[in-house]
Amino acid sequence: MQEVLNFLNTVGFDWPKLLAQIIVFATVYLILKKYAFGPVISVLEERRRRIAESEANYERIKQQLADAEIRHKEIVEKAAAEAQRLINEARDAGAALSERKKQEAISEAARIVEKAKEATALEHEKMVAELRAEIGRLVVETTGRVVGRILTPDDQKRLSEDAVRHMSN
Amino acid sequence: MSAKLLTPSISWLSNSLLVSVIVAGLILFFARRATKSLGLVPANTPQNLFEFIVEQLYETLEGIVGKELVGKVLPFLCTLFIFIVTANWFGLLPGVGTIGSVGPNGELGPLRSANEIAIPLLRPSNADLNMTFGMALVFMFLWLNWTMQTVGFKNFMVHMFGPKGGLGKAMALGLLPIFIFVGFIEVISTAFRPLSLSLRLYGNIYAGETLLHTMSGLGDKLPSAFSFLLSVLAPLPFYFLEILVALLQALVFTLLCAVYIRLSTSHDDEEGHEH
Repeated sequence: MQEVLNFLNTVGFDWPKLLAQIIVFATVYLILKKYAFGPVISVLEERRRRIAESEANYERIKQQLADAEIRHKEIVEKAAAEAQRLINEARDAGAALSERKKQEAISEAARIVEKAKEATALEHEKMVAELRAEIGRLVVETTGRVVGRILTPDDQKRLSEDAVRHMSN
Repeated sequence: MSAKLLTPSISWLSNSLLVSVIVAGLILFFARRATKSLGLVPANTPQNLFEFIVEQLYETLEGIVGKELVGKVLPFLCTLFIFIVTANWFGLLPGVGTIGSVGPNGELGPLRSANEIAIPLLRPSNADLNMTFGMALVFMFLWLNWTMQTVGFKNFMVHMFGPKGGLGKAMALGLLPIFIFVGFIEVISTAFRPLSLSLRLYGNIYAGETLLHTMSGLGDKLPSAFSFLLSVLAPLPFYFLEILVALLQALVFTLLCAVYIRLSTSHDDEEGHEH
């Protein structure tokens, strides 16, 4: 131990100087601890806490975003399916309506054609009847002029009927 | 070799103490500037720099002493690091150790250069064993305090003298005398920690100072122009080395203190897992 103390004395160890250095160092330590490191460490810890909190929030928001994206995708898929269904329904309804209208138009056209045919037939009958009557009248008139006498109603009727019969044949 | 007294009437006022006071003043001034308007977002460069140093040390020391203790020991270890590194770098400034007013025969005169003085006005404070030993003693006092607070006296004694290695009862009892003997060796080793810590720092800084002085005086016997040129060029590479040594020694001192705290405050079972 004495050797150690002798060595220390050789390299300049001295109690008063040691004490003075200790006081200087300890003073710096105590002042820094109270007024510098305490507040700085508090700030660093607060900052760390906030960073950790922000990271946790970020993770939570990221999870929520992922969930929202999944929900969004589901909603879009559901909407797309619904839209497709509506389109199909509209297409089917449109096709059915078109078919119905087409059938209606066909039947209406057929009805109009039928009606026109009937009208044409009636008109034809009427015209034929009128033509026959006119021909009969002309035959009677012509015959009357050729014969040179006035034909009796019976002759007129017979001649007219003969002429019509000849025309029909 | 040792720190010299500036006035013979005051036995504690040495040139290295003067440097310690200047360094303390610089650190306190800087710390005041850095913490004046402390906010979550750093408002000025000193706060940024101060926080950077503290945060780096926080992360480094947290890995050594653990999360529970880092808040308690960080102020001291930060002070230690900042004080040592500032004092070491301050000691490299031109004029420190080379300018003084006390001549070779003890006569007081105007400020003169290294060749003409016996006692420099300023000396690197860590080139004085009293400074490094003082810091080591303060550390040992706090170390003992933290250790007792963390593990308690009984556990501390068991840690020092008790059987280790998870032995069975009979085996532990049989080996108890050996462990007690090893415990005494451990006590001696712990008692010498302040000496090893302080001598390491003192030796490195004192050697650096001597190296720079020697290099500066290499051309003393040459003509004055060459002497001047050599006194500037010869120590230049060693200044860069000393800048690095100053930082490394501050780190070594601080990290060793952290390791000593860790060793005495960790439980034996934890240590077992780590080994």
